Amino acid sequence: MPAAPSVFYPICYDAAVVRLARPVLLLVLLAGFPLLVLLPSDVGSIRMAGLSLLWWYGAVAAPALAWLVAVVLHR
Amino acid sequence: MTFAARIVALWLTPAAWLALPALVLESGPDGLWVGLLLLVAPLLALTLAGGDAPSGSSRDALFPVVALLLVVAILFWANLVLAGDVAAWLGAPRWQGIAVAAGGAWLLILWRRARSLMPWLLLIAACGLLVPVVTLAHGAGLTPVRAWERVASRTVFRLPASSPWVDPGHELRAGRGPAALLFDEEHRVTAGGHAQLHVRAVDGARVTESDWDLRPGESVTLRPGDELRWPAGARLRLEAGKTVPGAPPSGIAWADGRRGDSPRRWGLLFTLTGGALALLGFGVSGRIARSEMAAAAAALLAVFAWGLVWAVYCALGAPDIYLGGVALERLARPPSLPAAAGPGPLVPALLPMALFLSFLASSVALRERIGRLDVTGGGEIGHDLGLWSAIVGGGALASLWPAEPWLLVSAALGLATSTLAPAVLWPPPANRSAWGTAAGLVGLAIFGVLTLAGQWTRGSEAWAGLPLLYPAVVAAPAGAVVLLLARRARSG
Repeated sequence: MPAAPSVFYPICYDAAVVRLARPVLLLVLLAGFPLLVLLPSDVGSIRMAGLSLLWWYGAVAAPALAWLVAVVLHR
Repeated sequence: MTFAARIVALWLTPAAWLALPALVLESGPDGLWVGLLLLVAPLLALTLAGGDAPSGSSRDALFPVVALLLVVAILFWANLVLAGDVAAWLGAPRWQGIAVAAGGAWLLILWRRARSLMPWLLLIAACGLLVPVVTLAHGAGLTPVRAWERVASRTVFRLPASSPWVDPGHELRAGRGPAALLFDEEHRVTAGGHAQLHVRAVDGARVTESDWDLRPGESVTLRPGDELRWPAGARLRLEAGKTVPGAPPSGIAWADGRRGDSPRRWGLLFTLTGGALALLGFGVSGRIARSEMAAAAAALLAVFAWGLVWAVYCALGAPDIYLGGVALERLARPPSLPAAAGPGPLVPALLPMALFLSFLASSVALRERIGRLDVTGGGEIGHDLGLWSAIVGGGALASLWPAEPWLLVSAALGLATSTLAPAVLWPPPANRSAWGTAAGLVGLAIFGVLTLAGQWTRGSEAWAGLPLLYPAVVAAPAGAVVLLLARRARSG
């Protein structure tokens, strides 16, 4: 029996949702910093590979993710 | 590249980008938070901007121009204050630094094609930032992460032997330096010349005030908790290897920062994101290409990374930068940098040069920004010699009196948030564009009243004191309410 032909569906996205997602994600990234400070037991002060979690987030993770959100989701 | 240069020049004037390492040095994570805001706020503004520019009658187009002119004038003022401070720190009269910076900006008003120069000015400035940081990193022999680890593990910040303040020939209050020093450990202070010192000693509940008249070579020993004051021009020698007065208690305390400062953080978030929306997004139409966005975001990221790395290497190699508290201009040439950079004046001169070139680029970008709002005059207002001579001249005159540049930048962004940001998010309907002016005037009035009230009253650190610290948190929502009423009136 011949195999059924594959059907490809283009990925559909809602442009309005993507447009809204960018600022929301950037705000979430920003809000993560003061929220990390507020975590109990000084979680932000735990050191990993030289830097504390708070500094890893604020100096490395959040800026890199912000760049990705601003550029990759740019339409 | 032109788009990225324009965004960087508009948003990161020297008083803003030099504040980043200064604030990181001063308060660790709080400074990092400011840096993160300086990076993400313009990205947020660029993702929200770019629709249709608000249209209206020429009368309604006047208010945004006037409001943005006020913002730009304050930014000029902040940067000219910094120019004066840097000149004084480098040993020149304050007015000379102001005159050079203001003169450069004024000359560019005369040259109508100065816009094409902007990316090159910023490119040379970037090189001027990169070389000193690489020199310090090479001298330290540590990667930035290892350098941070070393600083964050310090039990105390001590005066290095290479510090100019252990040398009798250096004036203690160079630049906008400290007027008083609070000592954390016993410290012998020696007079380099004739000096009259005032010591305030606190012993439990008893406070003793005493004056010392020292001849060259004579010294006085201060105990922990003593506060020292001295007249301007006095040359004093501090002890190498002792705790730096004004420095954080330890590197560990610096890295952990303060707890419970949430109101300030949220207030700053609101002010800076609103300021970015107004400065970069108001009245801007058209689509931003992905490559333009990538270049602008990369440039902002590079300045952010430079600020952090510069702060960490300064704390590591020049801990005397903390003496009496961190002053912005010291970041232009950290006190112990000449020793770390080796002989020759080239490397220490690069950062002041970068500041100057960055200011020139910002002056062009800010004028051009106003010009883009001038819908009826074809952007001619950006080249109006009389207007810009008045703004540059006024800023130069005002900057003869010392002020805190970062506070002026915050005030400028707060004003932009209060007057223009609501209209970026909720533009008034075309037939009700006068509501945009009304909203801006409401924001301006509330911002003005709260700013004045904040000057006269001692603001609380709690949430209740937030409107006096960051007036835009009340002024901008009030403006937004006016715009939402305009929409409701339209739909009704």
